[in-house]
Amino acid sequence: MATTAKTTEHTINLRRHWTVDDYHKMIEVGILDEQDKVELIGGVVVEMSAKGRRHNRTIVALVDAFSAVLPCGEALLAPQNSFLLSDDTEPEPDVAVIRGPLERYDHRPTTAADVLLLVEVADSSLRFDRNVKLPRYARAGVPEVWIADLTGEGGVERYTEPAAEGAYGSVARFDRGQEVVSVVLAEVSMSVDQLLGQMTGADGADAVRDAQEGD
Amino acid sequence: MATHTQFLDVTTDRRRRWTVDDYHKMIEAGILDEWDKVELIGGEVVEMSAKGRRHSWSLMALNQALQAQLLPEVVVVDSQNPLILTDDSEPEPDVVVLRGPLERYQSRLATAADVVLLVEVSDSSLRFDREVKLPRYARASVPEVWIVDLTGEGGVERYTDPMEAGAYGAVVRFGRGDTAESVALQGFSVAVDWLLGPAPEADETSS
Repeated sequence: MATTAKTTEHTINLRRHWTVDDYHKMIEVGILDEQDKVELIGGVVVEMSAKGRRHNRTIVALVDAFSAVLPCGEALLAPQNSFLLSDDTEPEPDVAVIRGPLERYDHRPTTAADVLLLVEVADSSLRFDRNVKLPRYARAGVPEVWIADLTGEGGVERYTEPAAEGAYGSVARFDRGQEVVSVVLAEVSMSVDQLLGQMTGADGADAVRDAQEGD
Repeated sequence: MATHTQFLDVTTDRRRRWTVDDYHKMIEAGILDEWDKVELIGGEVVEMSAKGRRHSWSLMALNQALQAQLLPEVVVVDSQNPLILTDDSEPEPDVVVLRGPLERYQSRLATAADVVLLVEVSDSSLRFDREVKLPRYARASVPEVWIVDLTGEGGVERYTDPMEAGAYGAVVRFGRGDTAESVALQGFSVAVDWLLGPAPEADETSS
């Protein structure tokens, strides 16, 4: 409805900007609880989209692939862990690889400086991940981000060389049939097909047949 | 900046909407305190604009006019207090005239059903008041809203006949030289010039 669009337009400059402190208090006093799938991005508490079957499967594939190659203890796998990025941003990326050993995190939260590589699995959230979260990862100095793009044909985007102004200096896209290789973690390389799985789900039988014919 | 616009565009659908309950908890927990000039509008906590000299004058003039003309047993004049509209909106209008007696409000906040007349004084907030708050007042059946428009020439807009669809069926604009009259609050009228104060000249930017 037109009213909704207008609300957004005029509320923009007036909207209260939340800090990480505010956000933590909301969790403490139960305004937000474990049932709430939210993250704090640029002062806005945003709802994370419900994960579909393919989204979940991709997370499992990532965890499986990373755990097979990561050097024991030096790098840790942190799925759905929240990171303190700045005083108004605390995202919860799908999968992250962080510096070990585990004891580093006994008394403090994980921050951007702990991240080696971070992966967002994107379907309906693709634009949000690319346009809103990615610039914040760059600004915070996250050295490498992958976006596993489940839309259309699918593929994996790899962003490296973060710049303080909020962009990555180097971008590579890996399609089906290719291997995605990490820059930061030399030992990491995985098949895009294996990560994304077969093209099925909402796309239906046609997509499966298309994919098979395409091989 | 392009990034900023994109940010807003993409976060729109994903933004967490707060309820009046959440909002009250934020105040209890000190996430929001008395120093925070905010209201809850359509699930969003929005900052209210700082009041300039002319805004303050209009408030004073209006309060004074209401107090001089009213029967206190029937209604209560309230200024800058929260009003519960719906489960996701708790605005803090500039002035509201509420059903009396005063004791009604000893142990609860006023709600839309208590309102006889509501006034917003608008300068930089004009579009927000007209396009965001007004439809919500209509939907909550606030019977009459005035917007004291301090921009440009200035004037007073009177909205009556609230409809559930979020609009008012009758709108009248009173300009300088006119007398604004209330429909819901029978017998109440005030000179627009008095409410607006002298026409601004060099002070446009200072207020």
